Amino acid sequence: MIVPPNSVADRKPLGKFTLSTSPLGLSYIAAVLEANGFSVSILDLSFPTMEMERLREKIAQFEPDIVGVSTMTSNFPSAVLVAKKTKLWNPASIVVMGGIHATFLHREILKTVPEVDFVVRYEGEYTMSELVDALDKKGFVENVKGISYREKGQLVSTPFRSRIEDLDGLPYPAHHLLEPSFEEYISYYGKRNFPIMTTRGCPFGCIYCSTMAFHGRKYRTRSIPNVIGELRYLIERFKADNTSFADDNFTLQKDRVFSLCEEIRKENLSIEWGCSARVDQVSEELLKAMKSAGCTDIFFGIESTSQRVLDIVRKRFTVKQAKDAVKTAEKLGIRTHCSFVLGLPGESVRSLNNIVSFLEETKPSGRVLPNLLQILPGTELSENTEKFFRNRASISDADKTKAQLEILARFYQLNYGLTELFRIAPPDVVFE
Amino acid sequence: MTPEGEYEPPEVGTVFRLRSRYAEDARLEIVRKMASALEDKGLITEDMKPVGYSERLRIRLDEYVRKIPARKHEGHWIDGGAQVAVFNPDTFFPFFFNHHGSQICRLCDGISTVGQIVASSAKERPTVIERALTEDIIRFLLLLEELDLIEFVK
Repeated sequence: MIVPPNSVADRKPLGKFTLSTSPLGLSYIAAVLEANGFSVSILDLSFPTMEMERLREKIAQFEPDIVGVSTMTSNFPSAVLVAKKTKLWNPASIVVMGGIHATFLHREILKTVPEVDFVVRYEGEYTMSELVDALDKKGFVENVKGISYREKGQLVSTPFRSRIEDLDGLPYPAHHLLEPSFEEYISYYGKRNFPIMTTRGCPFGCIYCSTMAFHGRKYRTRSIPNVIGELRYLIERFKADNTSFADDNFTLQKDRVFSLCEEIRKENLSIEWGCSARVDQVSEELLKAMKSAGCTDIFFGIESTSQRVLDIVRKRFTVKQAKDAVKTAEKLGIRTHCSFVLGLPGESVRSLNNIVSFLEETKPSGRVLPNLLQILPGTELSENTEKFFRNRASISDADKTKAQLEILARFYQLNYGLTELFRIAPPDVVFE
Repeated sequence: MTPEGEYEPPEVGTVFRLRSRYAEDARLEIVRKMASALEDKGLITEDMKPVGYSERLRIRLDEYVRKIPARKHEGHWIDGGAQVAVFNPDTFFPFFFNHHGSQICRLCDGISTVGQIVASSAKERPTVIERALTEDIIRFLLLLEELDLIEFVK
């Protein structure tokens, strides 16, 4: 199972910030495969010190019959590169691609990337396991729900596989199968952080987000004892002291979060954690409970500080709620991280400038991410791009870049008291 | 040149402390001196280098001046006239250039060679020794490459 590099370039740019988290999706799939008796390994090529050359070595060493490649829209070019290299270095291997991007663009991928033999659509745990089993027994892959492939020049898609209802029935992610090892992750990032997913899905259909299309509108949850069991397992086996709840919408069911926090405290689990939350779903009372259970960081996808834009993209919260949530969390000592999407329908140069005022007023102390809009497959925006942008002036690239620069400069100024920039020390060179 | 007419090497700044992987960390100087003293006393062997030691880059000038740099991340650069700035979408870092750095960035057009960029810069700076100017510009371009802001046309 391969996590592709973040970029097709073979260098990691100076100053690159990488998340200190290991691949959760593939670790879940690998755990199911392992439980079913298959020999599995996960190679994370997105790890900062990992080189593509390691894929060649790994293929020679492990001689895989099947290579699974996960992909998102942002790393799709490098996922294709991994597929091509895999076939080059081991032509007999079967390449399976999965993940959000592959799910929604499976037809295009199978048409244009001959190195990809199968696409696993939607959640991959049981689909991949059944597919591997069928290939292993030279059985009929057409009986495996949730896959697409080529047959006699035609694209074949088997029926949709229902989403996993019993999340407690899944084994814990197979972190032990990971390369680089967890000790390497920990020594590189300096914290013993492990991701955990306690729920899947989100009922809010924001037009630019593919979560609802991928995971469905229904919010599926793991039981509290099951989550506590995983936390205890991570602490005991890996000496974890930090976790990121990777749920798309961690705080949707407030009572559940209260219960989880209560259990973490009752069990005396010594672990700090972060999560992402909607600004309209965090009351001061809930934030206090989270803080007392070890919450140190919250990621808020605010996306715009224009109410008009929030309404157009169906965020279903107000700018005031966003301000209150950031201020309250910061007041309680929880670091807040805020993302913004520049270029959403209805956004203007003027409304972009409001983001700077928002930062000045709320003072988030974590990170600020002013992303440019990327229209993702599977989203309502990708299906109705023209409708959403019709009669709405678009913002020039120069204005978006200007906004990004201003937001970041102001954010660093507010948080680090910068009055001037840091000069970057150039290399020492011996000229010949 | 600065408004006072002084020579200013091309520079890039950002909102966070960064240095080239090949730049000397000032703190290393102290470590190196200590290592040297320990080596004199025979307490460490010659092959034990101080932690953080980085090899210096070796560049062949005659080859480098023939290279053609090109800006990456089209659409993420803005030119404010006096100054150029760029936002690297992969690293999430904003970068701001001084006047000389901005001039060079504009010339990283995928057409001009490093030699031509140096010649253009030298025209405006007739009092600066050309060799020193060339070295400054190359150091600057190496840094831009490390920051993933330029690439070289093959």
